[in-house]
Amino acid sequence: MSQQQKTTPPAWPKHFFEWYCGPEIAEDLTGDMDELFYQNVKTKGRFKARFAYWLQALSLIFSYAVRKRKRFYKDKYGSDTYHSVAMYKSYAKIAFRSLAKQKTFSIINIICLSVGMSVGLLALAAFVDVMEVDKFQVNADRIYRVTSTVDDGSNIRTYATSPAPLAEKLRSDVAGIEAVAEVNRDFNPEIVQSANTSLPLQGYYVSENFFSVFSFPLAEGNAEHALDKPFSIVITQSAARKLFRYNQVVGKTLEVKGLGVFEITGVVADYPRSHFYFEALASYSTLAVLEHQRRIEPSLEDWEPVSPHYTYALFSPGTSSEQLMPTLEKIKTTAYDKDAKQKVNFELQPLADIPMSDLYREVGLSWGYVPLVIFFSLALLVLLPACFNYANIAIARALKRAKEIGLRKVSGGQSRHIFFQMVMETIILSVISLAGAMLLFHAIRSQFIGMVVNQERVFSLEVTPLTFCAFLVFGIITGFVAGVLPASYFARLNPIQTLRNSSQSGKLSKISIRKGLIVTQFALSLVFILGVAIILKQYSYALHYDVGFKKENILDIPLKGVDQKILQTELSKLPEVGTVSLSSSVPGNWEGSAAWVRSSAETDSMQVFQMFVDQHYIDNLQIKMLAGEGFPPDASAREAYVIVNETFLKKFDISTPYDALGRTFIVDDEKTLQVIGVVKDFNFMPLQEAIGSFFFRCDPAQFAFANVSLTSDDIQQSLARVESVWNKLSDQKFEARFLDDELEAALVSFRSMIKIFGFLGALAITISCLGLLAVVISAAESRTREMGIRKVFGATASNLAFALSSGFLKLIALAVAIATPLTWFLFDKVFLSIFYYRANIGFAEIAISIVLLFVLVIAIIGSQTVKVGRINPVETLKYE
Amino acid sequence: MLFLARNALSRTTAYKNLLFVMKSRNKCTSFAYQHLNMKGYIGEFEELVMLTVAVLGDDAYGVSIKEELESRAGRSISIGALHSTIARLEEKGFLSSYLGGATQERGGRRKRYFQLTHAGKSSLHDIKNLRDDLWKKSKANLALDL
Repeated sequence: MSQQQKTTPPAWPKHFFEWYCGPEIAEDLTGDMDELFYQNVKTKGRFKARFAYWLQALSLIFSYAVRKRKRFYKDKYGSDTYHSVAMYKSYAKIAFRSLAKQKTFSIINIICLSVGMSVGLLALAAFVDVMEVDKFQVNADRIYRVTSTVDDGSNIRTYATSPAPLAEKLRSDVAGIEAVAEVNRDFNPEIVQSANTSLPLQGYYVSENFFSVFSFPLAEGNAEHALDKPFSIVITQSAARKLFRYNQVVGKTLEVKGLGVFEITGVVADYPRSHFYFEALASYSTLAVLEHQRRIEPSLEDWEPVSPHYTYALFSPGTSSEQLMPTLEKIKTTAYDKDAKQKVNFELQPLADIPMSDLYREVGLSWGYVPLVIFFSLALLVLLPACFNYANIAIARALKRAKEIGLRKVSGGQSRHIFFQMVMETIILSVISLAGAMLLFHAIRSQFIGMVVNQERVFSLEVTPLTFCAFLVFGIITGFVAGVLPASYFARLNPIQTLRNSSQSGKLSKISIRKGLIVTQFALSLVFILGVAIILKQYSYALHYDVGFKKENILDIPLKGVDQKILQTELSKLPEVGTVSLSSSVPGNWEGSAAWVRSSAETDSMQVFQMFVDQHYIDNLQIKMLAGEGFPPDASAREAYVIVNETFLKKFDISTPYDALGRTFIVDDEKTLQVIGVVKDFNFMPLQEAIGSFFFRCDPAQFAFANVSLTSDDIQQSLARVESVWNKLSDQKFEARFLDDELEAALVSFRSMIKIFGFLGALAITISCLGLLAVVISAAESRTREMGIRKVFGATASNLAFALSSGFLKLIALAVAIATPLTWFLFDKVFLSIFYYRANIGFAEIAISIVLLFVLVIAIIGSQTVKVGRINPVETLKYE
Repeated sequence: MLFLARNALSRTTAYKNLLFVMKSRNKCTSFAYQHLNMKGYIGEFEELVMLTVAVLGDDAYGVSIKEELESRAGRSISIGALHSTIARLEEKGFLSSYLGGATQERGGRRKRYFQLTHAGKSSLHDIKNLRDDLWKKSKANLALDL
């Protein structure tokens, strides 16, 4: 026996040859080869015989004989039946018939796939939108932006900005650059329309070559010279419509609050999506004039990279960014002190990379790479269960189709034909579902755009022909993915067994796959439910967290250059106003500064966050003092003092607050300041960050906000009064926000996360519940007779319900057992770890989520089992 | 996936015979064969194969033809080349084939037997007559001096 086994022809070339030729062609040829092989084994030995076999197989594969035979069979039998139109038609017809025949299941499948695909469509449309950004720029491949990477010792951050003087340096020092365009994002003009009304616009100061570097089409005006002179302004068509309600506006003038009168020199036609977003462009030369008039903060000569300036370079054709790096390096070394604490590095970023990059201080719009990946994986998380569902249902219903498959096989259908038919059926179903998904997509589109803060200009999520094609491809791929598993199952069915009506054989192993699918789906649903619960808890925790200062009824008003003293006294006169204090920044939503502090000349400096406040501030915000006192009323003495927090004490190894009083510290190597008081730690930073060492200083020049504490309950009236005071003192717009609103706004990402998670969770749960429903229906259907017999033997309705549902409940319990630790890990270690101050995941959230899931599941299973339990056994046993 | 790959493979090999493929895609394949037949030439190896089929009578199938030819002509023949030639001869209408019964020694696979058609026989006659004619008309002495 073993002797004989050894002398079989090599399997690999044999199978390959049979596969390549197809059985009808290969029969006599493989026969010939085998015969020769056995002869060769006798005469030449096994090894040579095998070698000869390989050669024979190869020589036949490349021979004219096989080629001709293949052609012949193709002509005669249409060989691959899937290439014949008639078969396509037949498959489509059968597909529609079987969809119509099993209406419940078709509807369940269509709903599941629609729901599953809708998020995918959203992700796809968003992706297409991001990809389309700046595609209209003619010079797109030659435009680079200079970005600055700043290493300040503790953080390394890449900013989209660059220092303003860099542009001039690039022009004069660097070869290979055709043009350098400068953009400053601080142009937010308020156009005065009449005495009381003004229209705010958003825009940039741009250099005169802006329109030659970027391809924004001008509807009116001369693109080359529109921005030559100071106080020239180019507005967009939509802005022109808003301002004038007609076109032909070139030559008109616009009065901008606080800046002066601008002359309109051009109108930009409404442009496609770009990473710039502007309604008005002012000439760059205006900036110098305004700086000279001291109307804006000077920054043109400053080499500070974190600025409102952006530098774009248009390369000459053939220049690469690597060629320019050495010169940039040289500029950097001449501009910055080598020993400075802050290290700056310039890099060149291609225009095409901008929409996908996620830099600090972006000029307009960008959407990072990471959110897109997260978005796509979430979409997949919803889509995959829907595909599983389909597979699950299709296999569960296999018995209904088995006869058809068997008959097809007997009358000459091969497994690949069956496979193709089943995949095609799924694709038809998924394309039908695509229509449903697109309806859903339209419904959730605006919701989604609202969820992603400030991104409405990146995403239009319009269905263009391009996105439609992407959708269609997506639908077909989804159909394929969903259909592969059941199709290959059907393709492998044995026709004899199916026709004997006993296709149970392969069923057992399939059941375990189905169980796996159910468990996965419900585990996923539970992850979403738990996720929502955990995020909700963290949200309310953050909202109610005792930050250590008063946040209710505190109104923060940006000073905008108004005389502090007068404003303070005027506001204090109002009956609704309690205290008015002044500060350099707003706590909780940190945009303050830091200083380097050492205790004596010998020791190393440490970074300390600082805030400049007046003597009323600490009382006003009810920050608790631990020792010492607030700033003295004497204005000139105040600047020599600091008030530190507890963490500061720890950092500098001071054991009790009283020890700190009177100590002196060297701040930024220039001033020596004395500790006058110690405050309890409070969260001056958002809750993501641990409280750092911090001190209050006093410097009226740094004040940027007036903090007004309101005592009246009538918020509207108080606000109106405060505004009227403001309007007397300043011609700038009154802006004020309540401190608690501002803190809540910092949590806005939370709310959108809750929405997104809740929404995805709802989708995932819908899909898994529908899937479970389908499986329960088909299980109940296939067990009706069993239930009838049980009933005849005296089982009660609840016995039957238990018999039917216990299996499913076990599966759900398994899902819970898998998902709970997983979610706990995911959220505790990954998501919540970005919060330094966070709510712990409690038993309550987990218990509530699990109970919720079980209630859902029991409702679904119950709906079917009760139905089965009610059926009169006479009817079920009569069946067949 | 596999079937797509296979079709692609066969398509590349068929590419060289594009013209022929296009013709044979016509329903009227026999027309294409006739067209080829008009050339009517038979190569030396084709002639040998036809004669071997004649020698073997009812037992002419792939392996037997190969062995018979190898032993008589004393040269080794690749099975691919042999079947290609047979395929061409079938196309020209000189050979016909049928499948025999299942055989034990070939793992139950059937043999494809070949036999000469009338056209085949007449073309063998043609070529033999041509040769004989040429032999007869030869002015040089073809006899070997032994």
